Amino acid sequence: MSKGCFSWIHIVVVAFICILNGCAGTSSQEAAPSVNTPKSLEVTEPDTLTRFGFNQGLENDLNDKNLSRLQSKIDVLLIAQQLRTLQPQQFLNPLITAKTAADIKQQLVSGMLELSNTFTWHYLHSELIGSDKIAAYYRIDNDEGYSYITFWLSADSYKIYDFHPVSFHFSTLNFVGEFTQLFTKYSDRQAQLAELILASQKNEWDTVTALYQALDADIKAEPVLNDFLLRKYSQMKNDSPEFMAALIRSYEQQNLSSLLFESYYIQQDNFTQAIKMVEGLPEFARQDSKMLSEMAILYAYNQDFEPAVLHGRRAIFAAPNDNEAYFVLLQVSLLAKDYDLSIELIEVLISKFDFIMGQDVIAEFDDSANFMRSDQYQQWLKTRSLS
Amino acid sequence: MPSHRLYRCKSPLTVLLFIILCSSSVNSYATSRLNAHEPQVSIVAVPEWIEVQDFEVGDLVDLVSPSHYHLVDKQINGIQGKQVYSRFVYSLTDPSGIESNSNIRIRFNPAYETLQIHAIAVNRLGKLVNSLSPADVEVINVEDRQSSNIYSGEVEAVILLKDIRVGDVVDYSYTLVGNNPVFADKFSAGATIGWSIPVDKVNVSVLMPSERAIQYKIFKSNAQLNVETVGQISTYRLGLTNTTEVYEEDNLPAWYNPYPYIQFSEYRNWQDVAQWANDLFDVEHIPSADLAAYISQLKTKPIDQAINAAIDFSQNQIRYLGLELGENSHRPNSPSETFANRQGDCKDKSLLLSVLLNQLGITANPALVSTSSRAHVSDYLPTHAVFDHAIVEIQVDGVSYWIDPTMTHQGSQLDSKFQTDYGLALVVAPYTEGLTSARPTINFDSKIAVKEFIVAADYASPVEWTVTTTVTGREADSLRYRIKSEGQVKLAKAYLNFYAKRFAKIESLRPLQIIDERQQNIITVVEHYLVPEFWLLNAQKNAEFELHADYYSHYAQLPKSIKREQPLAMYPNLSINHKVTLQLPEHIDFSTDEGTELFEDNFVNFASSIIYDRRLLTFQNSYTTKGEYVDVAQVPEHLALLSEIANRMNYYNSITNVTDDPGNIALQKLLLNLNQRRIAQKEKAGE
Repeated sequence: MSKGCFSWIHIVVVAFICILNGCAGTSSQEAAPSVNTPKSLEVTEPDTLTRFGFNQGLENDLNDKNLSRLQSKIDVLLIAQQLRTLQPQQFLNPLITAKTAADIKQQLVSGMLELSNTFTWHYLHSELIGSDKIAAYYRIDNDEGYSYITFWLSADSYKIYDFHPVSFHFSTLNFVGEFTQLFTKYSDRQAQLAELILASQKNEWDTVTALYQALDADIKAEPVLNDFLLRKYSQMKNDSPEFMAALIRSYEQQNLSSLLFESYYIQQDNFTQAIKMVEGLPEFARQDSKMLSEMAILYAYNQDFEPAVLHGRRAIFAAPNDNEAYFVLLQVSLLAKDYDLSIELIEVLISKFDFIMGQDVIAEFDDSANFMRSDQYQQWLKTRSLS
Repeated sequence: MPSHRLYRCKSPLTVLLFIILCSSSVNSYATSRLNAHEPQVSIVAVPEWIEVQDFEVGDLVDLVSPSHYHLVDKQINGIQGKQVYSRFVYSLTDPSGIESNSNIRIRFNPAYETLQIHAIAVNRLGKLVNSLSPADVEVINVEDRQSSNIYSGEVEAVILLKDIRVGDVVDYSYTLVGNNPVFADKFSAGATIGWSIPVDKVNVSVLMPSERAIQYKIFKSNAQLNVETVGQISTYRLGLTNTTEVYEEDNLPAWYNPYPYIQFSEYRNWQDVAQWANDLFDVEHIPSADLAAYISQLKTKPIDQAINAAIDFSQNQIRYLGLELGENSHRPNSPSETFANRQGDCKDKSLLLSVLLNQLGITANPALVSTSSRAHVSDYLPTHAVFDHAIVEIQVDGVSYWIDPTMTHQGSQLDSKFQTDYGLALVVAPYTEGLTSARPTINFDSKIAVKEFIVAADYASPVEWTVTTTVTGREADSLRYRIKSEGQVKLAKAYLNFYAKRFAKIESLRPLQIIDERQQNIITVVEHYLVPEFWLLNAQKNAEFELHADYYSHYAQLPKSIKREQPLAMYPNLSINHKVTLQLPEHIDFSTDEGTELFEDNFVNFASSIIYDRRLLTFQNSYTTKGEYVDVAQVPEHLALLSEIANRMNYYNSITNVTDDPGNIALQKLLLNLNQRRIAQKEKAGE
């Protein structure tokens, strides 16, 4: 590859780092990040820091939007090292690698803070991968839903070097590496690619849709291109149903999934496909109580009540002190007309979580009217009134 | 699975004498005889060439219990063919000795041996009270290894002594005449000269033509051999008196023989042995039409696929059957015959595989190995008798692969097949000058990773328990064989019963999930259980629990003999990682228990860790072996280390105030309902 060509790609890569952290699940806000004023610029970690201790701190920093502490947790040298490992040919030049790494670090911080403006971070757990990497798993949530993030850390220093919103196929660094490769791989069709990318930059989604549909099949099947377009699209304020449909078709053809498409399928009452989008998540996210509850309700809406109850059960096992798992299973039980189970769930919500499960509350649930007319409910009301 | 001890030939050092002295087992009677040779048993006088040994019988009160050996005599005549004379004289000093020493069994192979019994006498208070008559001798078939599909054609002459009493002196002698012609009259013999009981007098002698030089080597004894040449005959004599008892400790390495013995061999060097083997394996040059057709079919494949197909064919399409009768104890059948019959033993399969690969242009040769002596083969004088197995050395791209065609259910690719480390081999090839290192460069180790994930919804209800076991190497081969031979249902029951020893009310939630990545030779088994008795509520209302990361203990246990004078065997080339994670109902900070302890010596690495993550308490033990055995000098420190490791198999703790939550009862009722549904769903699905 010529030096000139590399420079051109580098510009493109840096230009698109800004979309690396596109948010899964909801449109991100464009408001400037709210940053807490650091109390001290020198941030040190205790010598005996554990994985849990580090992640507790990171969770706090993310929710507090503590810029300086977040910056101190990301290591630009590790980023550069990973870039060289992933794409040795692309990152031969130390200066360009360092600049790219610094840009990525900055974008990671911005991206985290941007997510912090909209979401609450929940550290789930972490695991040691091999001997030198830690994958730290987080859930982010707001009123509109949930999504999941993996941070990649160095096992010996607890420094972050990569970040992966799992609704996207690639982590940040993998995306950068793959994206640079894209132009090398399709060097004969760079213009075609550039036109598509520029149109997406300008948010001209009708043009994007037309260009995307006209792409050769091999380019269209490139995971990194689809990942790029999904990241870009997820940042849009306005919907482009045509583009969404085209992209989803492409994902379906490749048997790929993204949690971002779940709501699309739900709107179409295609719960089977919606379930597939959840099933496509990494294991840590699939095993989270929220996603188990999500599966429970999707199965229930799909009139498949046995797996719905089983997922609801697993959601309770996964987070027995989270009342949401019980509420979701209550909804499932009402849809399934499994009123004995409904009564037991109501009992737990009352005794364990102190909810007042009056008729007004129960009436908020779908299909609750039948339940309230049922013998089980009437008998339960009598028992309650006697006790 | 066929035994690895396939060759009929045993080490010359575990000789018949020892079997007779120590064996009290009852041999199974074969229902039919494969050997066409009629056993020849006669009662004849002691041959003239025997130097009859005298002995003394002391007072009964001074003799050892339950039997006292006065004389063990072995004299071998290699002047014309081979004759092996044996004589045993012993007093029975306790009823238990009568039980174990009143049946005389003499094993021989009628294909090339005849039995001459000279005397079987019982003396009581200096008087002969019982003597041998032909009617007392019964010959029975013995096929000890027929369960492993190995048939030797050997028989046993059995004499059941009658009216035996405490104080009787038994004196019997016999000669086995003849030698397996497959050894081309090459002299090789041995004799044990020390046992687990003391012996008053031991005599060993060998008569050979003086022009045929033999080497000898004495193991674990300071005894001196006397060589005397008179005329054309050399006599090698070794005499011992009052040999002490040898205590055989447990968990000995397979190569280690604690008993003193003497070995004789006419081979000058290993090259001579290789030449003998090469002549034996040179059985066919032109393949049959069917075999040629199969070779042509192999040649149509890309070379790597053809190699894998040839190995797979020899391992899985040729049934293991060892008809090791007469010369076939060591001489392989022709590849065409093995191919046509679809059956053979290690040497048959090795020769067939070598020929198949040679036809593909691959360098491959049978190689003789010892499954017990392994790298210690070179401790012995060069002899054919030390080898008991044949494998194949395959050379591809400069790498030697040591493939065992008797193994079934292995990984499907040459690069992923487990290779046993036999240490040394004698490659059967015209150019072989000595023993070759048979230590594989890849795939000689095995890994076991057990991940248990326990999910608790409260501190009283059953927990969900998922066990994911991933194995590689030999462990993958064994597990794959077990899955195929026992079936998934039986395996699932065995696993369930294993855990039921600890949790009697355990229930399976799903059928076993088995993922066999045969190309990489990795098998993963996933088990799902519901365990009611995980929590123990104590008098203080604390919920006690225990985590077990003890898979290691299947492979390394403290021996019975702790104060040792002999080396300690280890399970070689193994690493085990056992990780148990408990997902708690809530965050309880166990950080104060966090830490890793390391235990290491020259033989093992062991690390034990406690890690707390959000709601996840993980107890992990990892164990890696670094050797095959522990030297005597290092045994005490190693056993002390194993004791420390043994104390790290379990983690115990408790959680306080678990009954305070007012929602406990309602939650337990709900969980009971949900768990019953889960089990009912499994039963409904017929799982």
